[in-house]
Amino acid sequence: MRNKLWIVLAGLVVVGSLFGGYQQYTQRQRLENLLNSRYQQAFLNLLEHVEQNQVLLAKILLTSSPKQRTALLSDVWYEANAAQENLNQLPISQPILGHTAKFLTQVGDYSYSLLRQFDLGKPLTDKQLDQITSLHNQMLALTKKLQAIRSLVTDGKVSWVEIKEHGKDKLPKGEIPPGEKTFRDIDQEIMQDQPVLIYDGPFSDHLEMVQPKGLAEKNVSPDEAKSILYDFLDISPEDKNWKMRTNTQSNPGGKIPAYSLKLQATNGKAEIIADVSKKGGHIVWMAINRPFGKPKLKPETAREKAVAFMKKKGFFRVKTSFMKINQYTVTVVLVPLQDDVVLYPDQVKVEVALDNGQVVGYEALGFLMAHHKRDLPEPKVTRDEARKLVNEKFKVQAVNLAVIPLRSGKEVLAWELRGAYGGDTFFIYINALNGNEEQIFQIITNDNGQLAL
Amino acid sequence: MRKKLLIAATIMSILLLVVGFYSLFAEARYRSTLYYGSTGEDVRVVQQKLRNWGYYDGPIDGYYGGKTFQAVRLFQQKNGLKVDGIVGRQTWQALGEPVKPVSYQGRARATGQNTYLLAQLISAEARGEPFEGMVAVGAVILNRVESAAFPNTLAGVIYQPLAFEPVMNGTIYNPPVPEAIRAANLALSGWDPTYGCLYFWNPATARNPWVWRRTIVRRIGNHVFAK
Repeated sequence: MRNKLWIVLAGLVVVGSLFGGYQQYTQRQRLENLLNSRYQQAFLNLLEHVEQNQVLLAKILLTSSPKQRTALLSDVWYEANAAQENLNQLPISQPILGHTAKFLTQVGDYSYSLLRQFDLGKPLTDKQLDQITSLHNQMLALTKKLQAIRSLVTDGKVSWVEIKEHGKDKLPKGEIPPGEKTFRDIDQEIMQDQPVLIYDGPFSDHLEMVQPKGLAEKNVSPDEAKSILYDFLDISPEDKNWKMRTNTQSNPGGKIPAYSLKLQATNGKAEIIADVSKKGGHIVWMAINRPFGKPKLKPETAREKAVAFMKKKGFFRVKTSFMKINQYTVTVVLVPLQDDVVLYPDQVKVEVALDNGQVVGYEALGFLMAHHKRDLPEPKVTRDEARKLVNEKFKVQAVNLAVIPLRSGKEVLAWELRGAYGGDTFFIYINALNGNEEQIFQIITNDNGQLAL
Repeated sequence: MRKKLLIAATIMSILLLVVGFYSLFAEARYRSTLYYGSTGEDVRVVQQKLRNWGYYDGPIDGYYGGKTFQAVRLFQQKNGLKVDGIVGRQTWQALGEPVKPVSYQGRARATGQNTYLLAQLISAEARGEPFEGMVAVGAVILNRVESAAFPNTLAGVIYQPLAFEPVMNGTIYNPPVPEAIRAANLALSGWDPTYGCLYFWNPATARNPWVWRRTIVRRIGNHVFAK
């Protein structure tokens, strides 16, 4: 009797766990299908946008109508961005996709720069037509490769989730899952010999080769770098509270080669990290890491401290461009003036702690990359003319001259007009040489200060 | 005495002017959008107009019921409007009522959520690393946003499939340590100890062989940073 009861109980447990297991299994299956469908969609969207793109590029080469060309280039810009976005959603690791993603971004960015060129009344050059031809050929090769795996993924033979998760168990040893293999082939066969694309846009290859303009000539030794940092921080090298440590492993090979230094408080409660450039011995950036007390200072007081700090470092004429209020600190963006012209590319950032007003952060990479004595041209558009060039609904409050960086990395002299439109604050920049409207920023407030968008 | 009269007259005329202006502004109230179930003065106006023109034969009760609905649809159909039974801008205009001109709505705000999202990933990726290493991880993520070979938004970069282990195992959703928030702020303000690096990994645990083909820029704590 008792035995029977046990058997019944055991049976119930078995049935129950089978049922539970089956539930788990179907639930997992559903989740997997859901995930798979998202990847499937991304892949098919990618294919469609790439196919479209190839056709559009061909049409651009064929058309003889400038209007048609403008419309086609706008379409390329859209299709290329849409393709890039879908590509980045595939479950394939970025190093394999990287070149293809870059190719798609550049195609979009390049066509956008050509649209801006048309806007200034300049037609396509022969070199640019050659460039478009080679982009078309690459797009065609990419289309073919993607089409080749299309049937594989659409009839469900290869699941994206499997490619990602159990590719290794299901495939023979050493073999790469088909989706990943296709993208590896694309990367190696089509994208490796991508031509260097130089044009007026933020993703142009020339921007990666920019050299710093703001470094002094003299090279400094590691010991000189240390004393430069002591000076900068106003700490005596004999001070027993701080211990200097050089990170010997570090070998910064970036845009500005630098010594990276670290000062540690002997009580262990704080550290100061900084990079001092090898050429010129400039502080590239500095940050003090310590626990912060309750904020006591007003942001405005912190801003004054930042300005005073820069004065001590020899920057007598700076303008506060922008302030960001963080939890325990305020980051102040300061820009130097040259004969009352605001030099926006040469900005320096100073971070001030709100508990005691100490400067706890400093960043001058932008300044060191861009700063030099500029030969500023005389404006051909007067202040009053600039005022008249902006939209009449814009209530101008202040006007001054400024050097601003464009998306392409170039600089222009412009009239900066600050004003209001419907209760919002805007900055409008009018090219001081030809009257073109170069840039508009809307100032948007949030809890942490203001953002320029 | 005359002076007093003059003063009284002035005050009176000022009062009249004020009242006049007030009524002017009161007139300038615009009609609201009406739909099935609406009530009030505006509904009465619609009912009255539609009855005058022969579209409506129900009571003028200020209730937008079935009969009013039918009448509005009929009116819309006859006047070439979208037949939806809703009295909006177009329909009010066709009824001969003033509508509010489209105007710019100001006071935009931004969420500023980027700092927290970035801090979450920094915290999950670089907890226990030196502070500089945290700033560096934040900088790499922001460099990716700026790079052509990666997605163009912060969320796109952080949630890119297979990009970050903490996103895969869920540790990104833990609240970030305070240093990570400061590091995120610094990175967002432009601090970049890596000078434009796009990759970082821990040499002790990295299995992927391709990583060693990259140009290593520097090493901070347990991570190497590369282009």
